[in-house]
Amino acid sequence: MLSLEYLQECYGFNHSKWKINGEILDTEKGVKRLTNWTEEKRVRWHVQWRDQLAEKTGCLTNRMIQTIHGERIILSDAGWVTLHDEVTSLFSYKNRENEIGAFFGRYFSLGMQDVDTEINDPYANNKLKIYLQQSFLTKNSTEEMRFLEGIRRESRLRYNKAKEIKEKAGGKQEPIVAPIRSLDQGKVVYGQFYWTNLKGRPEKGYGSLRNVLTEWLQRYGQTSLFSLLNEIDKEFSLKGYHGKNLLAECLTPWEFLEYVMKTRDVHEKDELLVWKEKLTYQWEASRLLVKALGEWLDVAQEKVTV
Amino acid sequence: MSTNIHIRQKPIGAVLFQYDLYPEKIETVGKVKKVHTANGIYALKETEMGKDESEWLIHVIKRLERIGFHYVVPILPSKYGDYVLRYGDLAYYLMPWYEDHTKFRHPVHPEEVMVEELAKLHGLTERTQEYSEKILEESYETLKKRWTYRRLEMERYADQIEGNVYLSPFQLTFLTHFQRSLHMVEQAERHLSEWINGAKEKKSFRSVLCHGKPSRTHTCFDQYGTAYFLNFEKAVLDTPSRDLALMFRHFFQSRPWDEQEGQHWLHLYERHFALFDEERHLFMSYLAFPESLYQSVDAYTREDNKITELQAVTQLEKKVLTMNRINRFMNSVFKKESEEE
Repeated sequence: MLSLEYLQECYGFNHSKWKINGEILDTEKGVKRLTNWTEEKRVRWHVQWRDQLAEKTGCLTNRMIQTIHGERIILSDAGWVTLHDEVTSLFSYKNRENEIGAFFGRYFSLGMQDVDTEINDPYANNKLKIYLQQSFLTKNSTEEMRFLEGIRRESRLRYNKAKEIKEKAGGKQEPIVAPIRSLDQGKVVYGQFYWTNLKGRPEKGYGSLRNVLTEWLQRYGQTSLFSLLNEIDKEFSLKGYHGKNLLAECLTPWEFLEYVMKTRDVHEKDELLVWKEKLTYQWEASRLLVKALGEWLDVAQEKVTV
Repeated sequence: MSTNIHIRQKPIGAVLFQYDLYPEKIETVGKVKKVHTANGIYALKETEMGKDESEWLIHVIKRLERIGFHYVVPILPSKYGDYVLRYGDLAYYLMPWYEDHTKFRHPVHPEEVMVEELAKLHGLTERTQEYSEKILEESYETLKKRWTYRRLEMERYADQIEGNVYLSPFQLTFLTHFQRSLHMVEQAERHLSEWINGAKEKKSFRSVLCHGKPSRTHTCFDQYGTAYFLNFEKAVLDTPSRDLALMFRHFFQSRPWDEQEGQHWLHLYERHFALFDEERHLFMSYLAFPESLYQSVDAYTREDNKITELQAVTQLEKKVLTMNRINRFMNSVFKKESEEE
């Protein structure tokens, strides 16, 4: 762990103390968070991503603060360390479809396609395909196995439909972005929107956009979602192949894969019940999003159902 | 860069956040916000600037730092290393607050210091340009065309008001001195021709980094009389004659002066950065053309003219006075040269 004295010297703080050891610093220049990285190429990609996102959107993001010598990344025994502002107040998105739609539109059209680090491409591994192909039923099937088999069949239908849409849309360039897991990554500072990027691998595809839209629909309803989509579309055209691919992404039964992976070694009935509830919740969320998105894209002829 | 997304921005707060500045008080001083913080006082400049312009400004400031020209108010980087922060068409940059002194610990003549430091700036950034007769001709033709057009405009105005039965005091003053202004136009054109002929003969011309708006308001003096230039937003690579003429024009308008003083300033400049003969002609042609006088006519004839007749006449007379002084200054500089020859 880097010492407080060393950090003070690097960043030119006069006073600082740990709020959380090795993680959060309280300084005269505000509260700062240290982020540790184990891959140099990934941290460099994130520096570039955050700088470009800030430049293209004009929004504040958790960019890397430079040392007094102008370095954005410093070395530690365990790898690389960067320093960021720690902003905790959540941003309220209500009635902000225009601005936030523009933000996400630019987020997904940032165009940082040349990636020199490992990326996360959910379609690159075959896990989902494999689990969808084999039946869970045996001679002595338990109730759980029968439940799984039912879900598998439904999921396979979704998967095949998604595949069909994706193939029709054409395998054109998909966005590569910093992963988004929740709208709660949006914070507010000085009355201004501040986006907190996660440190994960760059992500290929539409998974992050799906997360944004799912949460938006749940929080603000379909009318607001349509307004958001209209704004995103101005910057990141969803009426073309991106929209079709996004629809395919929303149809793909990732929640089934997650359920199978998480419950493989679970034997406690209560725990299993929690996972089942989560699956049901996600399944319903996917259904509503696909329905709304289908309506927005006006692809009724596709007869998309979950 | 594309336009910013406006998320109910409070730009000043968001801008200061990027410098980790927590203001205790913010004052507006001209076009600058004076930001008082526990760690010192800063000047935050808000300006309209495109992306290319802001990149150029950063390049200029970095270059000045690299070549060791220290008579500049530095621009401070944000905590992310940005020198200019952009919000749509607006750009912000931060400088330490330099208190501008008008009283000094020993006698100081601000004009002398400014002209010397301008010469040092030009000297450090001097570059001989690849000779191109085409570029020279283009510059010459452009300027000549503009002057011809201005002259025609003024002749037309003079013709128009001459037909009036009653002349306003402004019109009368203008007509009284119009012929003299035409003489200055001819002088300007003569010096411009001398410049191009000299440059063609020499087959070379040089450029320097011109401040672009050298004036007292863009200079801060410390208590010892050292001047620091600020606002390099209009900086450009061009002939030193241009920047020097701009500075002289500013001096001429800011206080009374005479040709001896003009010669003294030119001498001080040339002590650090001697002009070539053709550059001196160009400098003089810039000064001689009575653009400032003609601008008074533009202002007077504009529909939204808000100044009174008395103010208009006073301004015009001041400009006539300056024009006459420039004439004497011009004659004294070239008379001195011919005597030296």
